[in-house]
Amino acid sequence: MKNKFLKYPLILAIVGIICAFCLAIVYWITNPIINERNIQKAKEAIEELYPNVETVEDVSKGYDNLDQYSISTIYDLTTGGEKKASAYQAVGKGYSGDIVYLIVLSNEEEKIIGISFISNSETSGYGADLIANEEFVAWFKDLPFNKLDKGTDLSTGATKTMNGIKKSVTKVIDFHSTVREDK
Amino acid sequence: MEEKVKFKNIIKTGVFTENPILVSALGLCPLLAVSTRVDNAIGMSFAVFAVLLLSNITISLIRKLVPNEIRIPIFIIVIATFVSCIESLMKAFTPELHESLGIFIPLIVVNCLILGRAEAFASKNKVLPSIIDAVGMSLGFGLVLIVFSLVREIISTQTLTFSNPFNTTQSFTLTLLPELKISLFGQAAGAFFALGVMFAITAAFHNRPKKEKKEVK
Repeated sequence: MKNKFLKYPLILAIVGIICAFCLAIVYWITNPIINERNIQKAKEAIEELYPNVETVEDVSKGYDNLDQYSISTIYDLTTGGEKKASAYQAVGKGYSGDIVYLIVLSNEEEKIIGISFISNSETSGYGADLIANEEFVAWFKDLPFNKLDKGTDLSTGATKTMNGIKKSVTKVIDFHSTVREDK
Repeated sequence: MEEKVKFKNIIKTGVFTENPILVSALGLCPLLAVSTRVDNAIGMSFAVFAVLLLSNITISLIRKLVPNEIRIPIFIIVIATFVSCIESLMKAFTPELHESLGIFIPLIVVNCLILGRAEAFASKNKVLPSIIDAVGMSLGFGLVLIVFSLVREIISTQTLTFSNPFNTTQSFTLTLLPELKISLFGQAAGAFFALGVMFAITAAFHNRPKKEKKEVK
C-alpha cells in the first residue's frame, strides 16, 4: 500500500516532466515564428489604419507598467517629422480567450483613428463574427474618446466579446491620456 | 495474410461498423461547431488524425508501464500534450486555419473519440494495430465531418470555398445551387437539424429489412 502511495505520484510526475519537455521544444521552435508574424501583421495593420505614417518606432521599452493596461507594444508614428499618432497593440478578454488588436490614437485630438484585430479565439458565429464585422470595426474610426462608453447600435449575440474589447480600449485610452502625456 | 485481413477489418470498423460519429456518437462537439465550412472540416480532421495517431502510438508503447489505477490521468496528460503541440504548430504554420478553428483545437483534448480509442484499443494492443486503428477512426470521423460540412456550406451559402491552409489569399469559390439558400444551416440550430437528419438516415440504413436467406434443403 505504502509502495503504491509513492509509486503512482512518481510515475505521474515523470510523465508530466517528459510531456513538459516535449512542449518546451515545440514552444522553442514555434514561438519566434508566431512573434515574428504578429509584429509583421502589426506593421501592415498600422499602415492600413494610418496611411500617412512615415516612420514606425517601437517605444515599449520605455514603460514598465504595460501589463496593468493590457498593452504589449507601443509604437510612435511620425508624419512630417512630428509624432502625430501612437499605435498600441493590446489584449482584450473575450468570451473564449484573448483578443489581440492594434489601435491607433491621435496625439493631437482626443480620438481613435482606427482599430484592427490581429488574432482571437472567439466562437465562430458569435464573437468571431463580431470581430470580423466591418461595421463594428468602422464604428471605431475617428471615434472621440468620450463616445466609447455610449456603445454601438450593432445588435450581436456576443455581448461579452464586445464588453471585453471596450474595457480594454478604455484602459489603452487611459494610458494614452495619462501615462503618455509626453507623447 | 492473416495480418492483412485483420488490419482491413480494423479500418472497416473505424469507417463503417463502429464509425465514431454515426454509430458511437463520439466527437459531436467539433462536428457541430466547425462544420460551417469544408475548409475548417478538413483542418479539424487532420488535427484529430494527428492527435489520435500520436496518442495511440504513445499509449500503445507505454501500455505495459502504466499502472491500471492511474491510466486515465496519464492518457489525458499524453493527449493534452499532443493537442498543445499541434495547436502551437498550427498557430505558427497555418495561422488562418488556427484562427478559424479557434477554441475547438484545444477542445480536442476532451474529444471522447481520442480518449475512447486510447482506453478501448491502444492500451490493449501493439503499436501497428493502434496506428491502423487511428487511421480507420480518423477516416471515419473525417469523412462524416467533411460530408456534413459540404451539405451545410452548400445549403447555407450556395457556394463552396476552398482555401490554401498555408496561405488563405489563395482560394477559389464554386457557386452551386443558386436557387436554394437556407441560412439556418450555417447556424447552430441548423447544425442540430442536419445532425438529426443524418442520424435518422443512418438508423434507417441500419434497421432496413434484411432479405431472408432461402433455406437450402
